[in-house]
Amino acid sequence: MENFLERDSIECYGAEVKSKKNQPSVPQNHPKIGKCIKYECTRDGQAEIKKELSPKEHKINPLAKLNLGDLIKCKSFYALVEGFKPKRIEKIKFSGQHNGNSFSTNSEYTYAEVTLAFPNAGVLASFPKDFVRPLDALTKKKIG
Amino acid sequence: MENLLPEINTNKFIPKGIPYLEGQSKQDTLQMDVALNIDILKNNTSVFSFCGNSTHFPNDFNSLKGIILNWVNASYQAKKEDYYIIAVRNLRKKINFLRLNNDFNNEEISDEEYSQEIENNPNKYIIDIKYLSDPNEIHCVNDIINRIGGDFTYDEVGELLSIDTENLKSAFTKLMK
Repeated sequence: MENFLERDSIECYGAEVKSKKNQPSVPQNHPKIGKCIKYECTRDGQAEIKKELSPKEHKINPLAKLNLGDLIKCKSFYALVEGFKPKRIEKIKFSGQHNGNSFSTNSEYTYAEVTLAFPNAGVLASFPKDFVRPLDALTKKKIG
Repeated sequence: MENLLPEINTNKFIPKGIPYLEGQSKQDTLQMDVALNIDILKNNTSVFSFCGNSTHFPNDFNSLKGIILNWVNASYQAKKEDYYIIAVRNLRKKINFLRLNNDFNNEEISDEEYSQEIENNPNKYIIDIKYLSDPNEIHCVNDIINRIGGDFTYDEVGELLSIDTENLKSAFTKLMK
């Protein structure tokens, strides 16, 4: 399920984090998760749950999404990744012709929260789950 | 000897009942709010120490109010000073970390060296995130952020002043009510 609104968040044990600008901010000693590194992801991005927490319980935010496949999409967000292991940030094709950066966490507690939503986040959030964008529908027709 | 401190029940001087006078600034009001959380009964001596060398207890209500405001103002400023120092320390840590990260990206240090450098020098790199010890400290935080100017997100403020983001959000929400 996609989440677009400000303060929407995900908690997981493994995630894929993508954005156009993605850089580590500072190591922290967090009262709830202990040693972690904070990453700032700006200029549009998304973080998707690839591995659920076990047990499936909230650690930081009681409203955070926990299910496999849940993701946040926004203008900017931050991610807290447990431990001080550095992440190799890879260059990827992000959207259209735009390049982006990506890193993934595996077996490390990860928390990501929206800090700045898209201007049309309210509209995006109100779309039904099975909504297909007109352009996608058109492309599918052409291929068919 | 007549000027010595009379035996007075100090309960009646707790600033709970002190009305805000006309012409008081917002700052004064904030200080009075902070004052509510200070247990004056435990620190009677420090209240009287503001009288200077005189041991005369002021009978005048406004003088007493002035003394209490001075005292509260001093503690408020001290708290703000603490936050300024925390902010400078955190910014230094952030700069140190960005340098380390730059070395890592240029492949001058390995993954292990990177982790070890952070773990062996926590004072140089790691920011300790804490909860607000007193909910009224949010006034200090608000004041500092307003003086710095610009747009801040909750996580930026939390990172700058070593405060947990969720704690900060709930405190600001209460402040805005």
